[in-house]
Amino acid sequence: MTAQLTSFATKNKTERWLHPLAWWVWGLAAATLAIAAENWFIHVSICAAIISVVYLKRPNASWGNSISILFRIALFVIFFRLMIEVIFGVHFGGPVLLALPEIQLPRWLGGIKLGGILGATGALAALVHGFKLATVIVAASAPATLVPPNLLLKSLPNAIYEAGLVTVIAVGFLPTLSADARRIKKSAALRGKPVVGLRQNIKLMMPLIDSSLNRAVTLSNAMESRGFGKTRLNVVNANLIGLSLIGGLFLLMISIYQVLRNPLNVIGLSLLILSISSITLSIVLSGKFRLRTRLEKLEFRSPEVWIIASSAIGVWLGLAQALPLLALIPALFICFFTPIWLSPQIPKGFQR
Amino acid sequence: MIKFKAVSFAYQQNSAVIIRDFNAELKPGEFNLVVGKTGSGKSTLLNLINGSAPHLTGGLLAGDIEVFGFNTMSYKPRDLAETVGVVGQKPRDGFVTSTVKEELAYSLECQGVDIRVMQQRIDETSELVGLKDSLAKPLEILSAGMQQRVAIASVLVNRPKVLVLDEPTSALDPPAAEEVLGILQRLTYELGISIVVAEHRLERILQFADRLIYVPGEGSRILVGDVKSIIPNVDLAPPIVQLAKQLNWQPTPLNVRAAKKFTAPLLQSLTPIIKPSSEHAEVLSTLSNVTVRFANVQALNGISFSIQFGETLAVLGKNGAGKSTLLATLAGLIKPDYGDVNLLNLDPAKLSGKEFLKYIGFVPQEPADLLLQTTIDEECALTDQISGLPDGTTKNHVKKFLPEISFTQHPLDLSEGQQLLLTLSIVLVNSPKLILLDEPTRGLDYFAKNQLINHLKKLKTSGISVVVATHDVELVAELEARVVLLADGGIIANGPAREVLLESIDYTPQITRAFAPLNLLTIQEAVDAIQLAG
Repeated sequence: MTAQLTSFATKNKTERWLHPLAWWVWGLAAATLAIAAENWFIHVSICAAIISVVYLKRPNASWGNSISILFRIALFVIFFRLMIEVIFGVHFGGPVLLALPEIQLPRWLGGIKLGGILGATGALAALVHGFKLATVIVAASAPATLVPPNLLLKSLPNAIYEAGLVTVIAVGFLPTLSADARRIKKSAALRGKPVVGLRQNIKLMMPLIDSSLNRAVTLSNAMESRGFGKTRLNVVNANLIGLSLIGGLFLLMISIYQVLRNPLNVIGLSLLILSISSITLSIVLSGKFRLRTRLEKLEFRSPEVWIIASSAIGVWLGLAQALPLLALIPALFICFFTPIWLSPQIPKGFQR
Repeated sequence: MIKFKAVSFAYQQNSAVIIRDFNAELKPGEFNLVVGKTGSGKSTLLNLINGSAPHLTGGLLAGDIEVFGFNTMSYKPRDLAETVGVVGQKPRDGFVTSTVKEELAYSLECQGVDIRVMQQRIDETSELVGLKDSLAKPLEILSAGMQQRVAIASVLVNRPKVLVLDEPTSALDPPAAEEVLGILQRLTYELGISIVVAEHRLERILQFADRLIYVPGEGSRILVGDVKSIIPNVDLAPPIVQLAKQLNWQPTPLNVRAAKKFTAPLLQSLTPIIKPSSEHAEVLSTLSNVTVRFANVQALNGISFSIQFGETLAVLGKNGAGKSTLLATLAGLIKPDYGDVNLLNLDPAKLSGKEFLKYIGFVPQEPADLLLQTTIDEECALTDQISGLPDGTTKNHVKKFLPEISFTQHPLDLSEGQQLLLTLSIVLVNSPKLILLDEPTRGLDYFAKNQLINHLKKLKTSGISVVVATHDVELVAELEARVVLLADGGIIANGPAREVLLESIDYTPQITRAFAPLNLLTIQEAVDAIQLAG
């Protein structure tokens, strides 16, 4: 099977990005399974597959390197979960690992017990649970390190393009922001006083905010002067559409409340229908009046289909538990490892 | 045609008027050069052309600006995208996408241009500016010069009638700057695009300009006219023009070729400058066989040289040649992978806090990064406190550098030149042995630059060693520095400026070019030599 898959991948020689949708389905499927699964062998298998794919397929770009941040967050989650066990945990048994002094909070504070004995059973359960959370986080954010953020933007419908753009730009700023912070911290040390303590660090924010605000202004000016936001609409129509969108959202809020209070409330139901159609209409209209065209359409070809299919099989295998554990674990690994064989070569400039 | 009719502009109701009663007509296909001091209103003038001021910057506009029939009051910048192309000061910060091709497509996509037309425009434009082979490349790995080309191409795809650029060459090394200017010249000659460009460093660009727009600042009247008629009234001028003024050369030569007409008859009678090779002073710092690697890039490759007490050393080289890394290594901020850094028998990387200040003063590329307090007074007090100096020492010291400033203002409200002098004076309080400056003249006008040069010359006489990483050969010439020329992390030349700059093609000061093969570097030297010859 491996040989077949490899030959399939080489046939597909053109360098291109895998459709972001396929990456997100892959990542979110793995995350979903991680949430649903109880057996920690399953988590290990998913986590191993995801990490190997990210490591072998990550592009050479600043956002491609954010995987290390991801790992740090994952480790922190595991540590944090363990700490919660140490502080709030109840002794379930097993050998005693740690005996802390116990503090019994008064009843009006909930009567919680702090500290006390940390048993092996509790600690192990905490570790397993922490690892589960970490797997979910790694799987759900892995796609972000595999495709350029603006590619995702391209696959969004025209109408919510602006909202998407804002998000993408905000995400894109994070690496530059952290680079700025490092630069400023280094420079500040040149004054002969290493930056320690909260107050000093807050002072560092000043040049940081200054430079990131300047950058944001530069970017928005550059976008505006290159025609961003140009529409076929006149001002009156644009305002009308905006008004109908906001009105629709407001109505939606009221009608949901009405319907939840009494599902058979006729006024509530009709308001709900009205609001949803008003929102849909304004989104469709604003998409229609948008001038935007796209140079390169994202392709959705067989590799995308296969990757999505194999992710779906993985989720089904994990949930149905149709296989014995010994067969399930390698099967899951393979299901989520398929992008290694299936995903096309990424464009040259981004290859490592 | 760009028409300014009685244009006045201020950012707020009661704030200073930046531009007062400006009238001008800029013709199609002309190369307009905007000059003026930092903060004089050059950028504001550029912003007025596509309506960024006041639509985006805010402010009050009186009078009318008409750009090829569009009144900027009634059209937003986005509506003028096909008429006016704007290239900002920091191209990198204005990029929206991640590859060259996407960046070129962005503006066309925003305006709903048909895919086939789009493809053709991108092809033609990338050919025109020399990006044809880079279309698939990610923007972040491009050199500064290539990024500038992308920024220009990304607005050229709209086929604008006017191209507005704010300091397009200030961050570029001389060869890259030359290439970008060549592109601009082609745009006016071959496509008839009007160009309006603001620049501080005029030595390269002045020869291309048809028209000069001089913004004196403080709301004084803006002068517009052909270069030759305006340049005598402008107190900011490149070395050749300054020399011509002093020697009364008429008509004023604007480039080296024109200056040659005046220098050619003189060359016979002038004598080359012979300076005794500097006496061997004590060595302050030595780099031996230093190699620095970042991930998979070799930033410095087996570098060895030493710095003497009181010596001024200039590190030259293209963007990415390793200049900043070399400076950081000298200061011990980067530890070399191989080799040794020695500063008076110490390893600078092991110096900490106060000790560091006694040996090294470092002014980074963004001097503002060192300024973290809310007023200049606090800044000075902090320095006193860190260095254990009596109260007011730093303030008195700063006053010598910046006598005119108010100490209660925010340090970030100072001009770039003032911020530079403030940080320089602050690091000098501890009288360090070695001063390191990274690209100090970027964005400085000639006044600020001259101030800096005077201060650096004073340091030389008081025995403090100075190392500057720079693109600015005129600065190197004025400082009469020893030059270390870097390429790809290695030293390709090391010697007195007079020798290295004379032999180089890319890094030659204007005066040297005009008087070649004579070895004159600065205006003063040229004037002296001519007077000596009678």
